[in-house]
Amino acid sequence: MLNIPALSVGQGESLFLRGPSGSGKSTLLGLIGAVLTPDAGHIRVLGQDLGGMGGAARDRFRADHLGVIFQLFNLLPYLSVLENVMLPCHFSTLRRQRTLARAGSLDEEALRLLEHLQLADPQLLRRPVSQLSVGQQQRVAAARALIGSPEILVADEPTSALDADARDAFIDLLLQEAGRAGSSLLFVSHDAALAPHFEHRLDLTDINVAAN
Amino acid sequence: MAILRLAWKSLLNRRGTAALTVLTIAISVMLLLGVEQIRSQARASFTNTVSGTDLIVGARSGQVQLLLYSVFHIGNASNNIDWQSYREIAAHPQVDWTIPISLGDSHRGFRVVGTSSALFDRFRYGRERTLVFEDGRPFADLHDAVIGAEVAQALGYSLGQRIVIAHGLGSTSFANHDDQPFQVVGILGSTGTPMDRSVLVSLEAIEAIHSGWASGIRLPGRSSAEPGGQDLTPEQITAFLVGLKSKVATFRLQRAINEYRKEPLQAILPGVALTELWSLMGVAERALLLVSGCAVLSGLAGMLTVLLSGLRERRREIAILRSVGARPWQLLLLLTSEAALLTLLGGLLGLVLVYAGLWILQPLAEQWAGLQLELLAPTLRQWMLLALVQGAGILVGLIPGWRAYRYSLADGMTIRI
Repeated sequence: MLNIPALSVGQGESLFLRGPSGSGKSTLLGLIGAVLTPDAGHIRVLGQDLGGMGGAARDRFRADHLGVIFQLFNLLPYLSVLENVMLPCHFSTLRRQRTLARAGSLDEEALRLLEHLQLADPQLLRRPVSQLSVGQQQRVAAARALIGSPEILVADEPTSALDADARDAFIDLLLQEAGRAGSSLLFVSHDAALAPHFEHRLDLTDINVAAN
Repeated sequence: MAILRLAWKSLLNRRGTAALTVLTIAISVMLLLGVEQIRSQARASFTNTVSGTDLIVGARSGQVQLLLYSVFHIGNASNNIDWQSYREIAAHPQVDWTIPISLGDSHRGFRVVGTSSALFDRFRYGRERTLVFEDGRPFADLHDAVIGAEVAQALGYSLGQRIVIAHGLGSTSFANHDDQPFQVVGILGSTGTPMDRSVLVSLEAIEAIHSGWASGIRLPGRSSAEPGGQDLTPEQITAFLVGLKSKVATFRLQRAINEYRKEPLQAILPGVALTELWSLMGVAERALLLVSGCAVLSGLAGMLTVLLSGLRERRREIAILRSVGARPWQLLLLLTSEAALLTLLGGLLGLVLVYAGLWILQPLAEQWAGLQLELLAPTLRQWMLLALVQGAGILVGLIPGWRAYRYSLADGMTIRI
C-alpha cells in the first residue's frame, strides 16, 4: 500500500529517493512509468493526468517521455550495443524526431551518447552485449534511456551491482548527461550513501503516509 | 517492421534451437508436399498416356479393369475380342484410326504387346506427342521387335539384339517361344508411359509364335508355323484404342459398341474411367494426406514447445521492451512473428527438400514403379497447402504471443526472474 499525499520534481532536477526493499519503490515507479494506475488520487506527469488516460495513451506516453534504467541485465542479448541504444527510437516517433533533430542519424547520436558515457572504443561496440562488464552494460542502458532526450529518467537501483568507484563515476556521468538532455532524474536506491550526489533527497518511508 | 527485425535477430541469437525447429517443420512439409507431388504426378502420368485416345474397346468387364490392363498393363484381360468384331468397328465411318493390342506374352518381365504399325503413326500421349525412335525403325518383318526406352536401358539392349519371347507373364517362364527368336530393330525414346516398358511386335508375329500351341503348351509333333507358309491373320486381340474423326460422335459410337450383337464388347472413355479410378484411389490418397498433415501438426507442436519454454527466460526481455516503449500488442506480434518466421523458413526448406528428394527418387521411381517423376513447379494445390501450413504456424504462434501479452501487462516494467 502506497499513499503519498504529494511528491513533485521540477523539470531538469534530480531527486534521490531512498527506500529499503518492500517499501513500495516498484509500485511508485510503476505509477510514474504509467504501467500502473492509482486506485485513488492523481498522478500528473508533464502536466498530463496519467490516471485519466487509456492503456494505449499511457503506452505512448511512456515511450515518448520516459527513459528507464534497471538494476541489472538491461540489454537485449540479441542486439548489438548500438542497436540496444537506438531501441526507444523504434517505439517512439517523438524520440526519433528529437534524436534526428540533434544529430544526422540515429547511429550518430547513439555513438555520441556512448562516447560521453566513455564507451567510445570501437572494439567494445562490436562485442556481444553479454560480454560487456556490468558497469559497461549499465552505461549502455543509460545511453538508451537518454536517447531522444525524454523528460523523465527513472533509475531503479542502477548501481547496486557496481563497486564504489564505478558507482560514483556512473552517477556523475548520468547526472551530467541528464542535465545536458534537460531530463529530470528520479534515482531510487536503498543506499543512503549515494544521496549527496543529488539536488533533492527523499525517503520513501517518510512520504508514504500508509507506512506510518 | 521494427518488431519483425527484432523477431529475426532474436531467432538468430537462438539459431541452434531455431534451426532444429525449422528442420522439424521442413521435414513434415516435405512429406506433405511430397505426397501431393507424387499424387499429382501419378495422375498426370496416367492422364498423359491416354490423352490422345477417344475410346478403348475390349471384352465386357469393369471400365477401370479394361483401362488398367489394356493401356497400363496392370492385371489381365478376362476375355479376348474377335478379329472380325475389330474389323467391323474399325471400318465404322466415324472412326479415324484404331490401334489393336494383343497381350499375354512377356520378355524378361516386360510385357510383349502385339500391335500394328498404326501405333507409331497414330498413338498420341501428353500434349499431342507422337512416339519417336531413339534408334532404328518400326517393325517390318515378322520377327522384328521394337523396344521401349526403359527396356533398352534395363536390359542393356541395342539394335540387332536377338530376344526370345516367353509365353505368359512373369520374368522367368519355362515356356519360351525359343524356336522363333526376334530381333530388335527399333528403340523408342522415353515417353513416361507404359510404352517405355513394352516390347512391341506385330500382330502377325504374335499369331505366328502361337500357331502350334494350344492352351499354353506346345503341341508335340507340331512345329510353329513357317513364316509365309500360313495365313497369319490374327483370330483374336485383347483390346483396341480408337481415335474418332469428330469428338461429337464419341457417345454415339460408344453406345453402338456396347450394344454390339455378335459378342459382348465394352467401349470406355479413358477420362471417365480415370475419374472412377481416382475415386477408388481417393481413400488411400486422403489417408496419406492425413498422415502427412499430422506430421505437420507435430512439427508445429514442437515449435510451440520451444517457444513456450523459451518464454519463461524471456520475461526479462519483455519487461525491457516494455520499458523502452513497446506496447503489449507489439509483444504479441513479436512472439507470433517468430513463429511465423520459423514456419516460413520451415516451409521453404521443405519445398527445397521435396525437390531434392524428387531429384534423388527420379531414377528409382521410374525403375521400380514405372512412374516418371518430373521436377515441375509447385501446383496451385501445393501453394495452398503451404499457405495452410503458414496459417497454422501463425495461429500456433498466437499462443506464446498471448502469453507474452499477458506477461507484459502483469509484469509491467518490473523484471521478474
